Amino acid sequence: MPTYPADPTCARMDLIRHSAARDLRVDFFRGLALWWIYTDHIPGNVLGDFSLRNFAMCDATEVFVLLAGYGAGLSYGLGLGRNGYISTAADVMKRAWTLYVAHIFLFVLFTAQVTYSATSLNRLNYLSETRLDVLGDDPYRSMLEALLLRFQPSLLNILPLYVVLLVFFAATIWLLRWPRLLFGFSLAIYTLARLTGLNLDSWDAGGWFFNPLAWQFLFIIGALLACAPMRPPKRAWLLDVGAATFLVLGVVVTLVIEPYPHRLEWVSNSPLWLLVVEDKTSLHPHRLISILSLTWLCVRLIRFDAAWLRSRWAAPLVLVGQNSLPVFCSGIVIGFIARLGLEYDDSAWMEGAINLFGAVGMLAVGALAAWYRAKGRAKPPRAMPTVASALLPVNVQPDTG
Amino acid sequence: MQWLFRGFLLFALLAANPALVRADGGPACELPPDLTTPTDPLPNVAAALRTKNGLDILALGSGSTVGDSSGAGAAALSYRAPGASYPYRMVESLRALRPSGHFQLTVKGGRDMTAELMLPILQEELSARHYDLVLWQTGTVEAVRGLRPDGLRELLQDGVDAAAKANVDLVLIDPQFSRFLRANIDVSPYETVLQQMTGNPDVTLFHRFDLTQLWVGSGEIDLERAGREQRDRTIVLLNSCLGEALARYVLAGAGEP
Repeated sequence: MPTYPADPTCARMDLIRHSAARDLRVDFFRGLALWWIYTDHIPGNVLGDFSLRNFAMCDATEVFVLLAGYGAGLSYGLGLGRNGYISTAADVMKRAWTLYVAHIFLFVLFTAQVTYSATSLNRLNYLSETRLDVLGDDPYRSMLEALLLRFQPSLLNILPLYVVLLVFFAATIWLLRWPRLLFGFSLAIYTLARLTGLNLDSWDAGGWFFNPLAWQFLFIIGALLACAPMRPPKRAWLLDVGAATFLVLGVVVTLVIEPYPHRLEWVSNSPLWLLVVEDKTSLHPHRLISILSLTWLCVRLIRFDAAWLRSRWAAPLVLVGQNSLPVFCSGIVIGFIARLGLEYDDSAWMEGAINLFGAVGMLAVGALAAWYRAKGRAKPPRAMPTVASALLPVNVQPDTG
Repeated sequence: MQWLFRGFLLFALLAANPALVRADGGPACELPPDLTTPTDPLPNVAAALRTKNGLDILALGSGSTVGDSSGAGAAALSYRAPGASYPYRMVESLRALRPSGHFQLTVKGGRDMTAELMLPILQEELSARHYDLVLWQTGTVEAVRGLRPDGLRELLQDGVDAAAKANVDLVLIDPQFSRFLRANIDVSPYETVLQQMTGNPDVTLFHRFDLTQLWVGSGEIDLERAGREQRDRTIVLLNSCLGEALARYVLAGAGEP
């Protein structure tokens, strides 16, 4: 076998980003959350019956937001000491802007897709379900309200949440130097939102579907886990037992009580009703404890350097998780096509086909995004680096997940 | 002349869709007794049927109740059937089941209306005149918008109190099943709240979600899978089946066979 000299421009581009410090668990679970978001949102998809929400009191949204906070903490929080507050906050705002632009583009794409399908297939329910009927009621105003993020059709409410969470993070990132203070501040806002129902205003409904004032708490917890990891508690087994108990309780509620009207009726009229009432909008404590319990057990059970995270089986989810913005956006569009497919024919073949289509589509988008990034990295610099520029602080790679 | 036209329309409809009636003249859809019998009796309905051989009914709800499933702005597509939604069908069925009875129906509400907007209407109606039965369909708009279940509970409790004060039986009606709703909206907390209201006297819950899910599962009535041509007919079928189910529910609650 002839050997070739190492040439950076010809080097094999690795689509998956590895480094000693990179926690592939985060990428893996973020990829899994994206896959669940895809399968869950297609009406009648059998795989939607096997995602997290069927076994726990939380769902893919909680995973996504917690890991978004963790990613933001890693990308920006650690650079805070090096680059200072203004520069770091500016980086966070730039990322928020990217997400905002992506959201507006997705809004236009999804609206065109849904309204065209509704009119050509005579399926009015598409408009009312996605709340795009509002667009028909008042088209001029809704454009403005969409730009102001006060008009959010169904399925298009996660990115606006993410944008606002990043803006909130940019404003509070200096508090990362005092993690307890930031935690307390965030908890206070969460409590206020829970007790008073305080929410950002929306145009066509009472408030945002995902109340940022509540969900910021989960995001900040994620950021704190990245920037100010807790000391492992002395009696970790107590937490193990508590977390496992809560998760088992979640399985009982979602699998044994809620699907059966008679049991639900019995529980609803008993003192146990507290177990079965929760709201997603303001991140009910059940949901919060559920995701934190899951996180704790994952951290305990899956080692940072677990070999399977680097295996080819985990690679698709890791790849998807590392490129979550383009994958998320394409997942929404592909998901609607999948829905049309299932409504045309709901055989097992079609079920298989739409899930395969989604998996391949999301993987392709993830691989393309990774390829562009790797290409950008592999390109030789235009100008020769000078000694001065080499001494400049290295910009933290923004978290593109 | 108009009756001739209506008769022709009905004939055309029946001829075009044999599923609407069965050979034995029964309803076109499955109506399991456990879903068409209230868990508690409806004493005010029973008393009204006994004393005046009739019912004064108020139906309050969002789009499906008032017969407006349109998406505004797409006029060519809109389906508005104000006189043909399920409460009207229920009264038709009641009249068929009890030909001598006098049934009066008032329908209130509107598309996209929340319980918060409906509560004042309910209170106003109940104070303005006497009803024997109130059907209150709610929870769907709350679930779609992610409004707080706690808030819904308080509003419903106020409605329940108003109904108790007016000596009227209250039948709550939960969201209609759709795959979209099941996939994208977490309905169970709202179901729980509706369920909890049945702990009050003279309040029962009509399980529309379970009933319509049953019809979708058996393929009898499946709006989401109905082709372009069958859509309007499927809506008609859905309304008449729901009406039939409710009529049986009401009479069963009054202890009638």
